[in-house]
Amino acid sequence: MDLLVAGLSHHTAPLALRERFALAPDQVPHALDRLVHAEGFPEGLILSTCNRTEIYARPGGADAAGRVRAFLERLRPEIAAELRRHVYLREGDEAVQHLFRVAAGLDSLIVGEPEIVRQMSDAYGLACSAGTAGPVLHRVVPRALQVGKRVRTDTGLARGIASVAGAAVGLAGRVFRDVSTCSILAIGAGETVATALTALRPQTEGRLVVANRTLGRAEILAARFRGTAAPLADAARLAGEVDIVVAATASPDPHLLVRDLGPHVARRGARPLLILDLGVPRDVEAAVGELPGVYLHSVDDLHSIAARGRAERAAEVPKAEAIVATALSDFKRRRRDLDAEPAIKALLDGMLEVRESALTGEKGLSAAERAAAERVSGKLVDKLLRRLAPRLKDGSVEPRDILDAFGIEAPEEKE
Amino acid sequence: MEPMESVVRLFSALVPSAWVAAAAAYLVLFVRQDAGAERWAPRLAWTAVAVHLAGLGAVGLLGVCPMLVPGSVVSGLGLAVGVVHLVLERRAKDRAIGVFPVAAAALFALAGAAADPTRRPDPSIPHATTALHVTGAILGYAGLLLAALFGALYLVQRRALKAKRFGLFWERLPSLELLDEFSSRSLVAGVVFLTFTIAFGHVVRRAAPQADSYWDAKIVATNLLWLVGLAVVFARRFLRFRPAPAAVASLVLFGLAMANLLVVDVFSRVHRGL
Repeated sequence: MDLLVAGLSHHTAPLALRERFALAPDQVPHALDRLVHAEGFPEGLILSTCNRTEIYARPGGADAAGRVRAFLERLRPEIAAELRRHVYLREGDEAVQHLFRVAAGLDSLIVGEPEIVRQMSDAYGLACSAGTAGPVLHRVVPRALQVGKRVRTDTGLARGIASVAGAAVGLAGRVFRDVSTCSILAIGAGETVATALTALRPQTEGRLVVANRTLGRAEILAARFRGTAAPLADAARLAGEVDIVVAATASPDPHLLVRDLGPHVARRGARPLLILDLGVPRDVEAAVGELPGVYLHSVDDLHSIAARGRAERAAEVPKAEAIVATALSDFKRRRRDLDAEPAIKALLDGMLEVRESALTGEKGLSAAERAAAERVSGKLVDKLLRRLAPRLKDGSVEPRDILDAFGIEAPEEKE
Repeated sequence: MEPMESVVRLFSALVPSAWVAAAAAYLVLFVRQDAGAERWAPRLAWTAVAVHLAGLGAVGLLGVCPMLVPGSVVSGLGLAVGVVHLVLERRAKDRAIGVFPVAAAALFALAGAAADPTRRPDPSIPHATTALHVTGAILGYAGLLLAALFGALYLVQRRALKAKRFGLFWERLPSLELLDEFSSRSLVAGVVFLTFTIAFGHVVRRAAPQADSYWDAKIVATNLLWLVGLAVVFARRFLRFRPAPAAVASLVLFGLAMANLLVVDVFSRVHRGL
């Protein structure tokens, strides 16, 4: 297969480098244009996510590996030296296998994560709009997307919760009927709370209040997540009003105590309260979890949920790899069939031409003898081709060798 | 044996088989989250409903009201549970817990199949009002059963969350709020139908040639059951009765209902003719 892939991913490069190398969707068309028109690749696609930036291209010329490396370095000249140490390159069937594994989520940081299928589909869409997707990419990328879908439906690779952020959302989903209506109180305005809100906030449309000792920092975080700020002293009262509390401060003492929260919880009636205490040391007194209707979970609980999900997914990896392997061998077989077809056609045309010239040379034949000769020679050509075709298709005989042996001109290579 | 009786006997075997097949599909779905099972489980359950209704229709074609045949009454309880669950499932778009109500439906269908499906009721019983009384009782008990079932699942999910046991049940069961809502709605429906049952029972009693005493064990126990149910519904609605004790109350109510259905009749004269 005329395909190569070059790039860097979470397997080969640290986050800081991946961040600097990543391309925003609006930068991709320009980069694709340069790849095809300046670097001479007939086709190209760029897949850029937070965990990988990869160039898929049809080589189309000599030293494709060197050219694609040079292209990557020219994309970000300021980090060219660093890139050289982290870029990987795969060609031919290995590149196809890599693409299939990426689509299946087998190469993802969180194995089986579903986002990559959408991201690959978007990347393909960008390549199509930019006019840089040709016959090779049109054949291989949709197949990869099919493989990704099949792996997710036929195996448990995408089931369950495999990330800490997913665990927070999963816990909310086991408590509340409709997470989208939930309101949130964030206690603290640090990075941990921001990370938790990044996971939770897109799922919820209810109000968000950020309570922090320094009101200014609370306001900054609240503005980032469409919320309002409040002083830390109001935390217990606010906790009684919302559905989900996320707490992570640097304080050595807990901020939510049973004696403060108890009366507010009692007034809530049947409404449950989910508290995610992500602080170390804890920000919520452990006894708060004993209050009726209150579900208190620590960062260890979230890790335990994610670890369980990851273990379950890991058990599904062999099944997913088997699907990818089958799809790859099927793809290669079809590809060989397609490759062999022009050669078989050229061979048939060549043989018919030889037959025709031989028959034309026989002048003294009667009409009946000519008809018999045509019939026999036709059968001969047919039988020879029937024996050759499967061997040409399975790759045990090179089409070019046979054509050379018969002195037939090889058909023009098409993709 | 009449040909129609053979058809009725055939259905008495087909109905529990259909429910068992549906319950098996829901079990596969619960344990493995299998995509095929997710497609087939509700289809099999709706097929079981269709087969069950056809079976009741066949009993009707014998000239007997199905609601007066003990086997049909017991399996009818399963049908009511199954149909109510399928409606709830369609509303909530959550098929994970179908194994429990559908298995309950299968159990009632199996229990119903153990009785003679062609048994004819006492001709002295006023058929129309008794049929309404029995239908109300079936729906009322089905409501109490579902309330108890969802209440039990609520307690399981609550325990998983409180004890931080993130196993299969935590992962598969829906949210506490949804289970609580299903349980309390089922309880309300159960109490409403029990009200009709008691009212129709009163009509049947008055129409009987020799009315039983109001102090008969069955009448007293049913009225008490209804009162307790009404008290729980009232407490939930107006006294901020929390979901967890309400779930326990729904389990107790169902236990009382089963005792009323299976044990109290021994000490009562009310249902002797049925």
